[in-house]
Amino acid sequence: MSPLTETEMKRYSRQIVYPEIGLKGQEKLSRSWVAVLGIGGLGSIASLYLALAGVNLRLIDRDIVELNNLQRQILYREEDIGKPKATAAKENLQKWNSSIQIESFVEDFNPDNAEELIVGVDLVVDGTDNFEARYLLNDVCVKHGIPFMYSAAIGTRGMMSFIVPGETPCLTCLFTSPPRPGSLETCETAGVIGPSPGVMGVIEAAEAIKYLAGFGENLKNKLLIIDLTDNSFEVVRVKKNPGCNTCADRNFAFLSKKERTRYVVALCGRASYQVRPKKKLNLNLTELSHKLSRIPEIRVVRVSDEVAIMTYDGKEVTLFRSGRIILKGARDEKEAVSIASRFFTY
Amino acid sequence: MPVTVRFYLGIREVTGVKEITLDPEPRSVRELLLRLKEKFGEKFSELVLTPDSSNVRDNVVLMVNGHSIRLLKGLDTPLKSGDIVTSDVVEITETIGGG
Repeated sequence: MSPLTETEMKRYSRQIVYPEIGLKGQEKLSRSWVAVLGIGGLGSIASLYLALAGVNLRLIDRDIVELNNLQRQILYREEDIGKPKATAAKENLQKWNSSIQIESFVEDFNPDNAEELIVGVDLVVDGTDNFEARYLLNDVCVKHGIPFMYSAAIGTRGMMSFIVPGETPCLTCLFTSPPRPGSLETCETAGVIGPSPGVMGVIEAAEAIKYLAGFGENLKNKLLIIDLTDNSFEVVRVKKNPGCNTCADRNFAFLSKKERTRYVVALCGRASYQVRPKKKLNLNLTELSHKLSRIPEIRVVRVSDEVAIMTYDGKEVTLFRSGRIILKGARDEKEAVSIASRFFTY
Repeated sequence: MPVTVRFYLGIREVTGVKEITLDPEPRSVRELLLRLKEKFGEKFSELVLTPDSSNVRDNVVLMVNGHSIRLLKGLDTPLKSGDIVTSDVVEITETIGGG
């Protein structure tokens, strides 16, 4: 007896018919868990195809849906603006496929929670937009032997590599260390057309399906470089570095960074700062916003169980239930902390 | 043996070509980049090298036979000049971070 229900057999019939997948492959897919770290342009399309294929998902994202996301982040619609991405993505994906399990985490990915968020899944899809998060993911995955994909897109271009700890180069082998903040262009500064993260996200989903069902060849020991301007798809051979600080010496520098003291960070390319409490809170945002609305400089824009959006002195303030706060338009870290302190003590 | 140099993304915009071969092979990456500067002009160097020319830029990856030179000897990474069995492949690309 197959563990698949009759409805599932029908739903997945077209990929079950595909000889490389078959019933066995579908059972594997339906048993698998994939973490999607960052559900933006890359993550929304990758998670959509994985959800449709019957894969269980763990969605992780720290942001809320904004109007400027809708041009490329296909999981979200106008009515999702202001909702946490992980929540909106789960809601929408579950409408596409109600038979899979989806966990959502409206959380910042940092050394304190990285292992907890990732360990236990079969594979991780990279949907992040920065190298700090990717290097932290690299540490977690190498440490625990979890395969993951590095993938990125900007403008008309994209890059990807399938990383299997022990078998392929890791991110440190490929790029050594994260480029200094500000040295790389971001989607905010350089722009992006929807199809670039779209193509990369689709390939990520294909890589994941092949890996989980156990057929085909993955982008292992290879770096895929694409440019839609001239439709170039090229593959560069990359090699493991025998002296690699991360995968050879098992020195997990990003994971062991004691970020607990660094609770305010600039969100690159967004003129935003994130401040998080030293200990995770569980705020009643409705009550809190009610109190805050009595302060003259504060205007409450919208409130839900998970997130409250307010303005303070013309700056947009997004407060999450965990106490994490994102400040748009703050001048520097100091100002960000000082504004955050108006909301509660950090 | 000649060395094959391949360019990708923004680097290719400046070189206008995907690939060239240099013969005779330069002895090091530093020498290779000097030869490429002669060929493609100052703009190439500006794109690839830090302002003090001590290393490749943060957003650039230069690989010799699949290994980033940051993990080898940087600009002093030798190329196998005179090796008649294998020829080196050097690849230069920008890094992409968005998502």
